[in-house]
Order: sequence, then C-alpha cells, then structure tokens
Amino acid sequence: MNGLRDDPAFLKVLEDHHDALARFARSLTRSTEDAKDLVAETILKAYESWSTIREPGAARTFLFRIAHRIYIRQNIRRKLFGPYNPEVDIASSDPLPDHLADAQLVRDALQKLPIAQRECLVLVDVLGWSLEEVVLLHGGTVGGLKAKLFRARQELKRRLTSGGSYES
Amino acid sequence: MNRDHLNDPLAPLRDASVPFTLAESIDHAHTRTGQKRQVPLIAALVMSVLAGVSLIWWYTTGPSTTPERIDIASVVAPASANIDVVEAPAASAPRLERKKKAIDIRTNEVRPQQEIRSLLEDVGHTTPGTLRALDVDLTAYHEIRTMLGTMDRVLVVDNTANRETCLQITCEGGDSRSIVCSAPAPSPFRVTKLNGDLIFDIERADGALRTGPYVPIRARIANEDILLWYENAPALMAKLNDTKLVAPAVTYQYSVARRPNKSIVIDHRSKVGLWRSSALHRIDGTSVNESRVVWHSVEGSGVQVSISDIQRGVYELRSICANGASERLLLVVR
Repeated sequence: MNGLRDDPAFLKVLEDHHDALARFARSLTRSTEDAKDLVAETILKAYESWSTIREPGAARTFLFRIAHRIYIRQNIRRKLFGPYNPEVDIASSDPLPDHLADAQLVRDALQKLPIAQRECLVLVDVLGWSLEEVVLLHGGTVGGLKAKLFRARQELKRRLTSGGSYES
Repeated sequence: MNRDHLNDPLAPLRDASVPFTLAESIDHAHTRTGQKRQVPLIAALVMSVLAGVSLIWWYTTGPSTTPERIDIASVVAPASANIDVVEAPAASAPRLERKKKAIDIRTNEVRPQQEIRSLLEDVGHTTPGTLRALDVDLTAYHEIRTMLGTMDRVLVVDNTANRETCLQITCEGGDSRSIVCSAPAPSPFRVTKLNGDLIFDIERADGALRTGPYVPIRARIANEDILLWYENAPALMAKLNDTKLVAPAVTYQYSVARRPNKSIVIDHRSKVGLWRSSALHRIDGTSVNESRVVWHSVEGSGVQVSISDIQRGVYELRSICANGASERLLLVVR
C-alpha cells in the first residue's frame, strides 16, 4: 500500500475518478460504510492489476469494472452467507439530517431495483455517462441498455410515488 | 419528496456531495490490507491440516494399486458344479466380491475411459504477460461481438503490418464496417464460448485455414470466459514458445466445412485399428446428444466418419478401438 502512495500515475487516476467512483458506490450501497468498503476494495484490486492497463484513457472503465465485479460478488456473498435486514442496516449506519432525506429516499428505492438496472441508472442519470460508455462497461447493446433504463426509471418512479421504497 | 424530484427522481443523488474523500479511501484501503493479510494465513493453515487428514485417510482406506493374486478356481465355478447343492460359507462372499473388482479395473474396456480428460485442462490461461506477448486486443473482440448480427461475417482485410489487423464486419445486406485493432499477425481464426460453441469466425481473405495443431487460449470479455483459437502459424508458434502455451493433447485435429444439410464428413486414417464406439463431446467434456455419429471402414485402416445435425463450433470426437486403445479428434467445424 505504501507503493500505492508512491505511484504518481496511479494516484493521478484516483484523483481524477475517485469522486465519481465514491458517488457510484454510495448510490449502489446501503450505507456510507459499505460504499467506503467498496471503494477501498476497488482501489486495492486496481492497484494489483495496474501494470496490465495499457491505455491510460481506459482507466475510468477499468476502475468502474472492478467496482462492478466486487459489488456483484459482495451481493452474492451476502445472499449466500447471511440473512440481511435492510431496515436495521439503514437505521444503524446512517442517521440523516433532514436536508438529505430525499437522497436517502431515492437510495432506498434504488435498492429495490435489480442490480443491473440500478448500476445503469446511476451511471447514466447520476454520473452522466453516455450509453456507449455503459455498453463498453457492461456489454450488451445500446438498444438493450435503453430498454433497461426505461424500465428502471419507470420502476423507480413507481416506487417513489407509491411509497414503495418502504415496503418490505 | 416534492413534485420536481418525481420528474427527475435522481436529482438528489446528483446534487449530493461526495460522501468521503480520496484520503479517507486510501486510509481505509490501507486498513483493509492489514485485515486481508491475516485471512490467507488462517485459510492456508486450515487447508494444510485438511490436506494432511485427507492424505492419511486416502492411504489407509483407498483402493490398493498393487494387483492381487487371484485364485481363478475359487472365483469361477466349473460349469458342471451344482450350485443348488453346494452352499458357499457366509464368510467367503465378501472375499469373492473383492477379487471380482480387482479383475474389472484391469480390463481394457475401462482403462481408456479413465484416461480421457476434458480438453479445457490443456487450454492456456491468459495472463497479462500472455496477452502482451500475443498482442491480443480483447476490446476489439468485445466490440465486434456487441455489434455482430447472426448472419454477419468478420473478415481480415489487412494483416500485413505486424502489430495491427484490420477486421471488417460485413452485414447480411452488404454494409460493412472496419475495425482496426492491435492484434498479432495472424489473428485468431475463431472465437468460441468455453464449451466450444461458436461466437464468431474471423475469416481470412483467401479462405485458407492451416491444418492443426490449433491452439486455444482462454480470455475474458465482458465477464464471460471465451476461447481464442489460433492456427499453427510460425510467427504465432514462436510467440507461444515464450508463453508456454501448447496445443490440446489430442491424436488428430481437423478443420471441416459443414455441408448445407448441417452434416460433416471426415476421412480419417486411424493408427490404432477399427473403431468400436465413438461419441461427440464439447471441449468442456459435455456430450453432444443432438448429433448422430456414423462411421465405416474404408481401405486399409481408414475410417470415414459422418456427423449429422452439428452446429459450427469446436468439438472433440472420442473413439475406442476394438483392441481397447482410444483416439481423440479435435474437430473445428466451419
């Protein structure tokens, strides 16, 4: 890890993309602590594989792909190895001031969407990625992604209007 | 939640500040490194204890590899013996079972089947070093895959430069799009799934494909394991010597064009004699049930094999001969 701090090229990439990565992680996960874990794990994995990257321009996709894989793996692990009570987790980890209540409401609703929809929605509508960039990260086609985004937006809206995010 | 936010529900997330700083993330990563170091040590300790226990158990209870002396007279009763009258003592029954098992293991019928392995075991795994040595551009293959329709073709247009290959996707209607990618000369001729099912072919301008050995290497695009199949070209084989990749351990390799009725015919010159049975497998070892394999002997020790209802892909034909020897044929069906 000291090597990480001593690698200016890697640090530069982190400086450029950390904020987006942190917002991506926070939008996907249930708590800031989970998001911090996800980003830290991503940094470690990225640093391990840093020598394999040949085009500096691909660094953003490289980082987000690692984060995506770790997130998927964590979800599988969570499903396999532990009963999970989202209400307890949300309440215990993030006591919120009032002005952030809307953001938390949206995050709760996002948690109810399938992972693929959730990720695409955050990348496009929160981080402002183009459809082609998301296709490069996740595979598939632009048409398929558009359909996925449409369904995700509809479902998110439905959950927010019906108060669905608080359903068990 | 107010009405504006319902029109743009993700606005609160866009407006939200960054939840933690880069310095916090790096510190957190540093903390996690320390925690992670302890886990492999504990896992290694547990694994070594388990391995030790397993070894002891295997040596004490596993089947003996030394052949036992068999008293044939006690195993096979003479034809004239009257079984109704002679009652075997109860204690001798288990002893007879044990000897029969020893005889079965040593027959020719069983041995070849035990030796057959999945071809995937021979497939070279890509490391960053391998990819660099072969100059593989996985992004290009991923891009081709995302835009390729079922009737489209991928053609090598220009492969003269040593480090770049121009691939052209030709659509069914005649439209085409070119992709220049960093790829070795030559590029792989085929990209398949891990079980050998075809993803797409990369056709040569002259349509020629060398005979084997074909060398698969395992790579990963868009979270899916794939195999890149290379032909036996001197430039590639020189690179392979550095990467220690080898061709699959099969007896013969064939590249066969599929007929319009979805069948293929191979003229095979067997070195081990007449076939007794034959079965088609994917290269991950799963059997192909939808195809029918028929063969007949031709002059000398030749065999003509017909396989019907076969998809384009890479397969393995496993055959057992009358004398118990086995043959493995790698089939690249075009």
